[in-house]
Amino acid sequence: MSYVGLSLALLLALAAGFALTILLMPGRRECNVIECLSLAPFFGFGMVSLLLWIAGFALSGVFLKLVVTLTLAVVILAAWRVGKKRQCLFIWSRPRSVLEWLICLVMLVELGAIVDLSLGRSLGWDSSFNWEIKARIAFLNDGIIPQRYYLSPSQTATHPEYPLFVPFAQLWLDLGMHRINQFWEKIPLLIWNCSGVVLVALLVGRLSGRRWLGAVAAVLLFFVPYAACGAGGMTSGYVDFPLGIVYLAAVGYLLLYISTGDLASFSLYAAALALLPWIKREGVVLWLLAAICGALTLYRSRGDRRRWLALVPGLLIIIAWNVYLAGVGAGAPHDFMAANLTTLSEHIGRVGPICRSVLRELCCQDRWSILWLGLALAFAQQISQRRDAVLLISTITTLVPLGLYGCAYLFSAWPDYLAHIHDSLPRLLLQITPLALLVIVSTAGCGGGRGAGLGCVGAVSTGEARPSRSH
Amino acid sequence: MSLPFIRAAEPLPHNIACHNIDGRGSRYANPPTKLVIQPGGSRALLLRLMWLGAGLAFVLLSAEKIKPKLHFSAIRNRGEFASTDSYLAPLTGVSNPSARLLKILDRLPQDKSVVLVVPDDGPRSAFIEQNVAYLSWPREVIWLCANVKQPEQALFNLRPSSLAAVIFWEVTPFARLKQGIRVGATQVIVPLAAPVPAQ
Repeated sequence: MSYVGLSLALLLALAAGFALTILLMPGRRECNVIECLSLAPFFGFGMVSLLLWIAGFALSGVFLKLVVTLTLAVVILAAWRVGKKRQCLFIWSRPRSVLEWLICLVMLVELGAIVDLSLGRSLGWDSSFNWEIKARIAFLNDGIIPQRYYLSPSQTATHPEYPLFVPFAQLWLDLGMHRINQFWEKIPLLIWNCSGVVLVALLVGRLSGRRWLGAVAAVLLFFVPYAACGAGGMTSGYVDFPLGIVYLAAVGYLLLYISTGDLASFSLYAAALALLPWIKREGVVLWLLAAICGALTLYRSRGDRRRWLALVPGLLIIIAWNVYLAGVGAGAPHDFMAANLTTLSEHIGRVGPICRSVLRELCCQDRWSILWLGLALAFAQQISQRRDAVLLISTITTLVPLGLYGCAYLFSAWPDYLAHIHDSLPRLLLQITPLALLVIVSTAGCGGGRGAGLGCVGAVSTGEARPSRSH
Repeated sequence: MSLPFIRAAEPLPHNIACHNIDGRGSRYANPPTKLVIQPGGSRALLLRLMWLGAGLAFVLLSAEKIKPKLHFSAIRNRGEFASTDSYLAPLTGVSNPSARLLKILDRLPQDKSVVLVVPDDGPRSAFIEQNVAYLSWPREVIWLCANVKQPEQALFNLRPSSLAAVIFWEVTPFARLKQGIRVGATQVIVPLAAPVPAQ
């Protein structure tokens, strides 16, 4: 019975995510099934977790489950009707050459390895005691996290201030199974990781204009040692990699929008953007950067003013979550002090050691191989060839987080802030890894032509690489 | 089979090629098009060679780091407490430690606290405390170090009516609390409150 419940809960969340993806692509008749399938787990579980949280203010137990199920069913029905009205065509994009088939085969082997390694290991520390514990507490309390949890001194180490995307996705499966199971609770994370790999292939392929390059990027992802086997990597059940994928989706679809003016890409950017602060606390930083890029794009294009609304859902989530935390009396994060000028002036002496630690981490071959050297080379090539909106966006979204995450340790409350850096910086870097790989592979694959590289599709709309200038 | 990077370096009539962004030709209603300026010349060739070398170095270096960490195993459902068991089994030396602990804790009143007596306040003790706090919910866990002065007195200074149980973890139970239930090699739970009826 529990397997039936688990399967139904999983299918419903994924189907709703698939449906939402279709609804988010207004006017697009042709839907790429692989694209919808790879976005569905993020949007589906995003919707489920938000619904469980919001409906949980008024309902609990069976009624909570019923309302969430009905809402998901309504989304699926709406997408079905819209699809029928739009006469949607679902397309499977198959590999077209021997090279593409070969790379895709390697990618499939890689996905198989991720599945085996993930399910062969138990949930990692953060995954158990930051995420799964909240799912357990909510399950034992009819689907709601009681205020007592936020006030409990023995639960302060479980980061009560973290948002509920992961715990409530796990809770949804628990509610389906009618029991808590730490093994099956790893399933959403596994699905996010696998669909993340596919999404990397898809977005890099589109942005570089070469599908085989996309597949190469997805394959290379597994060759980042920390991403593949690290303590916070894809197989450990941590959420930093999925967060990085959603960040990649936000930035990637924004770049596609800049390149093609495709409204569907902009909607998908908006949806991914809204999800960022709901996944993890650091998502707020990534949201801010992706939102700045979106705002710059909208300001520059001076298009439809309603598109500015894309920035609202994420902002609402940030505000609502903080109001909620204040309402339940949750304490401030214990690992960081208040970011103010007094603390900054007290800790200004940390700047040198922090810079050295960050550099040491970026050069750590055991965790990153030569990934960050590759990123530096990619930027050097991009800067020498083009200075346009695409370069600006890739710089803001890839390099600025590195600086911001480094600066965050100025406010570290750990007695040994260098130990704090050593402990958490690799996970923060993992959040930028998919995007870094996109920049590297796109730049490398497009060669040294003017206007080539990441977002070479952007050359059309930005008008910076006209045919006459290439000779 | 010609490799794409070699093909792209060949001289083209106008050095320009037009692609659909998905490479799917005319199947789009409004095909979004892009201009790719095919690189040519020795500079581009050098760049391609550089990236090829960097890519190979990346893969070879990474493979060396990843290979020792790849331990494939048959996928099997490790049960309801797959994760906490994997943490607690090496500490307790018994199988199904989470279920064993819960079996005792579930009978205790939920509005009372559990005292965990551990050897010190080091990271290992913090690790144990986190596991016990996970399993004890909704009971609060009070962490008591055995290496402080008069730990027994510190325990009895707590209001006894507010306590559900005392867990001695790698610490010999205090003289006055010998009637405990052993859950592992060095783990003993001493219930202090009367068991509540099963729901």
